Amino acid sequence: MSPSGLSDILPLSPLQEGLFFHSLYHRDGPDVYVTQLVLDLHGPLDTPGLRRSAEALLVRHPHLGAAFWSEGLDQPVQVVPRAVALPWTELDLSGLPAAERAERAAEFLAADRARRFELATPPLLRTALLRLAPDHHRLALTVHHILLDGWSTPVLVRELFALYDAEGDPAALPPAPAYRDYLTWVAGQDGAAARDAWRAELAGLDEPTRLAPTGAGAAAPRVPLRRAADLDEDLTRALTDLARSRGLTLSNVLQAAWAVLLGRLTGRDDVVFGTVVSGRPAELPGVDGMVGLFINTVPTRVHTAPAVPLADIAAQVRDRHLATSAHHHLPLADIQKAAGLSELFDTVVVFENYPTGSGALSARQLTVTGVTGHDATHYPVMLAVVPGTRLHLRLDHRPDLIDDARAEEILAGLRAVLAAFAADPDQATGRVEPLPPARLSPVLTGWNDTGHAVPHSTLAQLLDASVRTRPDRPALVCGDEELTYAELDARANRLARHLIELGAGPERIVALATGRSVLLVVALLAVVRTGAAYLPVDPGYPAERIAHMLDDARPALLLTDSAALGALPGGEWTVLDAPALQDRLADCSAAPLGPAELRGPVTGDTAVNVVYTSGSTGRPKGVVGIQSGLVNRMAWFAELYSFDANDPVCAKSSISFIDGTVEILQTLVHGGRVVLADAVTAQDPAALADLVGKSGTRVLTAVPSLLQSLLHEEETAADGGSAGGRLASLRLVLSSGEPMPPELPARLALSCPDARLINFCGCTEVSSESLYAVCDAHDQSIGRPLWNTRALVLDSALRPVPPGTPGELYYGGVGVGRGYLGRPAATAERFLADPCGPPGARMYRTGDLVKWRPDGSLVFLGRADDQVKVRGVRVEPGEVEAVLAGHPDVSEAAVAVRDLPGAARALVGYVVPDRGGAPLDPVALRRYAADRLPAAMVPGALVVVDAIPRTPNGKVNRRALPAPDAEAAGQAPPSGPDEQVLCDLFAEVLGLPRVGAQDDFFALGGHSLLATRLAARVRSVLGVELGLRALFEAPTPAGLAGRLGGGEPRDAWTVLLPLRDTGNRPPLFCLHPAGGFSWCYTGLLRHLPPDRPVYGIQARGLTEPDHVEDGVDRMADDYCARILDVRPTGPYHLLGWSFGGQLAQAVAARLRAAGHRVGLLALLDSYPPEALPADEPTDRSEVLRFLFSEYFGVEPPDRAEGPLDTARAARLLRAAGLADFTEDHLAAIADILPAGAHAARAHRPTPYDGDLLHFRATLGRPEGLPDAEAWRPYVTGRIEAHDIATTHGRMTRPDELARLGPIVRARLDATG
Amino acid sequence: MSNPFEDNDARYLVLRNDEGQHSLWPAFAAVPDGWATVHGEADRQECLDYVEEHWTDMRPASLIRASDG
Repeated sequence: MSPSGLSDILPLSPLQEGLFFHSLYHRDGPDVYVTQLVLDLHGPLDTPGLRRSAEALLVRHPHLGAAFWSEGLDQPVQVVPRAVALPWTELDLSGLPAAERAERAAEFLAADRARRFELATPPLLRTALLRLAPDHHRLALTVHHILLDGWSTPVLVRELFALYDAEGDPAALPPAPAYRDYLTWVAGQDGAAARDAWRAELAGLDEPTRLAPTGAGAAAPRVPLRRAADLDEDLTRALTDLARSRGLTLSNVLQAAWAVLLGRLTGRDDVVFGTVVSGRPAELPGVDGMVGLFINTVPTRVHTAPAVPLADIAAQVRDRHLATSAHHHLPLADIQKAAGLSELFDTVVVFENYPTGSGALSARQLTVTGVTGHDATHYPVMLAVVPGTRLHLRLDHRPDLIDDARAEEILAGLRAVLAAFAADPDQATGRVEPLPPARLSPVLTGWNDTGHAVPHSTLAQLLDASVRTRPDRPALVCGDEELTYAELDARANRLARHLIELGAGPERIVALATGRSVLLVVALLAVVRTGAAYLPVDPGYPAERIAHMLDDARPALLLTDSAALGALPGGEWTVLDAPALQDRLADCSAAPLGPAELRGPVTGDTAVNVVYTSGSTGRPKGVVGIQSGLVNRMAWFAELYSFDANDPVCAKSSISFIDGTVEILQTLVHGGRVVLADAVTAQDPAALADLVGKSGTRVLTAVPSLLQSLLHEEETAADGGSAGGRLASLRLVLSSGEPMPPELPARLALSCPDARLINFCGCTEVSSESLYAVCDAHDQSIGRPLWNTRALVLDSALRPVPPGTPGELYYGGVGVGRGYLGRPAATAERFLADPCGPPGARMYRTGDLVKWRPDGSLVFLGRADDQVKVRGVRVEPGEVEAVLAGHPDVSEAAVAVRDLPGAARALVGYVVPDRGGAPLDPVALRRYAADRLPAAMVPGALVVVDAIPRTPNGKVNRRALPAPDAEAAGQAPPSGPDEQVLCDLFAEVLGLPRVGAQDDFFALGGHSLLATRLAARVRSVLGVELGLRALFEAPTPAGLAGRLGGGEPRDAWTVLLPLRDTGNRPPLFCLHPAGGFSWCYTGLLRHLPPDRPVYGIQARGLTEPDHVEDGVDRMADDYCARILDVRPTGPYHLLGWSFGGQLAQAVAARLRAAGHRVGLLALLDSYPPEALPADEPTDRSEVLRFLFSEYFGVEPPDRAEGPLDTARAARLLRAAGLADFTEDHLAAIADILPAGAHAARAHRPTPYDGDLLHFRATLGRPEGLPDAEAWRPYVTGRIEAHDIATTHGRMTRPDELARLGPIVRARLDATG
Repeated sequence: MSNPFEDNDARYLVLRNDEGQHSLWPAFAAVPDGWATVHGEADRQECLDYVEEHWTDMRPASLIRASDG
């Protein structure tokens, strides 16, 4: 089509734009926007007349012949040709038998629908006339939706018949109103106002409302399936009456019903769906008679809060529709942009209130007996509503996303909601249930069928029974001490009798604040024997917090030991190891206690413990657990694990947490052997791994982060070949408190091949655990409920949600505790009436957002409130905020958990300084917090801000709190090789891409577990024993580097630079590249075992400015002498990168000539002189640029910015975090580099009689450059060549060293 | 999704079961079996104040009977 053949060029209407781009995206398969209108015609037919009439339609509406072009244009356009021939097909089926005729006709029409249009090639329509019988025809008009909408078809059909009546004479009808008038109108609308209106309408939406799974939209569209239902006349009438009486339209009611249904199906009470609007502006003359694409799909947002009456939802729909109707012309893509979301909805509602009646149409004895339309959308679900005496509902659904059963559920649900509207429009929305009971039976009964008979025992009775079964078996191992069940029982009974004398008994609280010793276990058992509730207190907690707990709980007795007493706040402490008490206990009977000895009865409802957890209001709160809950939990454990063999169980959790006492009691109830880790061991993964190995521990409880540390210990130890297999005895690892990292199960399986990994989910309020899951790498579920426990996932109307729908997790069953000690109101808002359980039952509201999987297990989705978990410990930000804000210089504080890039989750505090107060010192403030909060709750980083961002209703807007950005924090580059190694190790341990020399380990998310890992890495990489104290006192790489040399700063520029000077194996000497310094080899340390010293050899010119580097031979002589100084006898191992390779070869040849043994000669992308390119830079600026590209492996500064001097180069290197060089040092390097390059080319190597290990960089070099064979004339032995896919300049970067390092290590190990 | 127990603008009830245990409850939702309304509907804080004042012994009634009887 040439431009001269065009009659018009028009812009696109809003939906045309959408359809145009949709067709560009989805070029293959059926085009769902090919629509088809089929008319059944009865009576004698004038076929040529009909064809002329159809052609006349194209003349009347020339834009029906349009094509859509975008190539080479800023905006797509529709081009209207002067003349378009109407494609017209005739098919005579009248000779076929009736059944076959119908089948062939249907086949033809289906095939016609499946044929795509090419939008650039007009016309985008075609007609077909099927002759079924002499007086029965079927006319099919197949059109791309981009030309016409449903409101246009009655106009077209009416006109077609008027024209046929006039035997196809176009003059029979008045001229049609022009589509371009509408396009002009659209172009004149205020786009900015419309965008603002939609932005306001959709404000606060954070995700789309979807029925189909996330990401489904990307799939190629499928032709939808169709499902339909008619409401009966009564219901239709009732809805019509309701609409009329409340000032609503039927469409408002239908949309409200759809919103209510969507809310139920998605678990949301703020839903969005698409509404197809007619898009025909009333102000445009003749708009009703226009033919074209006017409709648009716009979002309808509805708040469906459960307390709101149904009719109010419909009124809301009406009001929102009116408020946005002036802006219906904005393309959906622009609306999405205004809302800040790339998708808003995946369901669309269309109310087809255009006339489709056909009975009135007849002309010249021809009657239309049926009109059927085929159109579709790409949306997963489209609801079409057709008014009538029986309201017709039609649901189109993409079968790949919404299957038949789901579609039926949706239709049936809609009917149920509509029936509720008719029955009682004033009922609360949350009372309406669109789902059939069968849909909810799995989540209510099936997956919660956990009933199991558990003995009506008290915890003390379970323990008694266990002692009777195995009196002589070992019960407790602690250091060198070991007690049998009978011995432990005797001590506990004696103490219990004494405690009863002192007042212990049922419904009284006994605080237990002893160190981790035998006494702890004895005292715990004794308190349980008295029927009192134990209140576990970790004496390592800040005294202020302990004081608060004791003040809050008002225990009847306070138990401790002499070691812990000093750290505890004042009070009437009973010191369990005091000699006087020992004498007193000797008088008490060791026999089991009879019920009559207790101060009162113990039932399943009696309090068994009081355990404090973080409280959102700023104070920790005590959870009162009950006997039956803990007994049930213990009884169930027997199903998970059998202790028949008196298996050792390592108890290491702080007793401040529910796990700490449960792991002891559970082991003793079932006949295991408690291996009690002391407080130091419990904190140190290496020591813990030793204890596990030494004791043959079979069962261990560890949060995932501790498990990672343990496995890391084990993996690195096994690598070093020293220990290994320490964790191999484990049979059961119990984890909880944090999401399970996907790689952990497989890692565990390597170190502990016989261990099952179980993930628990629960909380103190429900006797510790409620859910359990057997973990494997592919299963990220948090599990299913254990015995006599029910997991309820409820929506905001407290209805159970069906599988797959997000909801909030509540626990019911026997584990539910009594509540919060002394806090009835706090209890009444968390421990609630259970709407799904037996009469009078309670449930606990967890605040976890979860969903059911089809297999009956639960998946964790997030938190409904602010609570966070840090290393398995539950933290209420409010409590930490209250402490921070309590500092005199802080006026306001907020706390959030931040994932630092790629890495550790850290609690970050944000503080606003008090006006007129002293400038805030974050270090002092952290110390202040550490004095008042348990370690896990002390923020790892503190950020001083001007104000705390808040949401409109005054809550802290945690999302708006800035991330403590490691990059933005101005990471200082390392200023020496030690700092460089430490920066690398900090980054490795913290899981960060990079750490600066001045970055605080703890501020970046480091904690005591990671600190021990760091110390272990420093030990093995640098060979330096780094006390944890040193890390706490100097928590930055720069600070720590200063302590590596025992307080003496180490010279980073000396000729013989010890990168690691410990270890007794022959060292590896690494020779400097042309720049003269050897820090580049620090990254190698991590890949070489700790017993291998590593030295860098650096150019003398770095420290002696007047020194002239005069040739490789002279340098090699010099370096040989230094090497022989430090290591008089061989074997010698040599390695060099670039120019350093030539030096290494020269040194090797010299050492051999002197009769020494050379073990390894390894060259990193280094070549003999004749193979070197002759383009080394000479002027200062180019030399410095060369340093960037060839030494640091980064793009050098642009030449266009002018010549580079040392000052700017130093600044750029610092800013990029690459190196912290003084100008003097850079000047020295810039002098050495060209001298080295010149020496390299001038050198004439002498052959070395040994083997060569060579690594070649394969990227960024022109074809035909040398390989390892270039060394052949100068190496008499074997040449082992490896290719590394990198550039020359990046050869010593961490990733590259990670690849070549292990090979170097293996060759070193082989040579000694 | 907002939690129906955390809406300061909503109306609530206080429910009590036979054990004397109290529960906050949104006014729109059906009262579960075995629970009776003892206060409300009222605003959230008023309901919590009621609980604080009236639920003075948090032991379940059956335990109180067993212990005191």
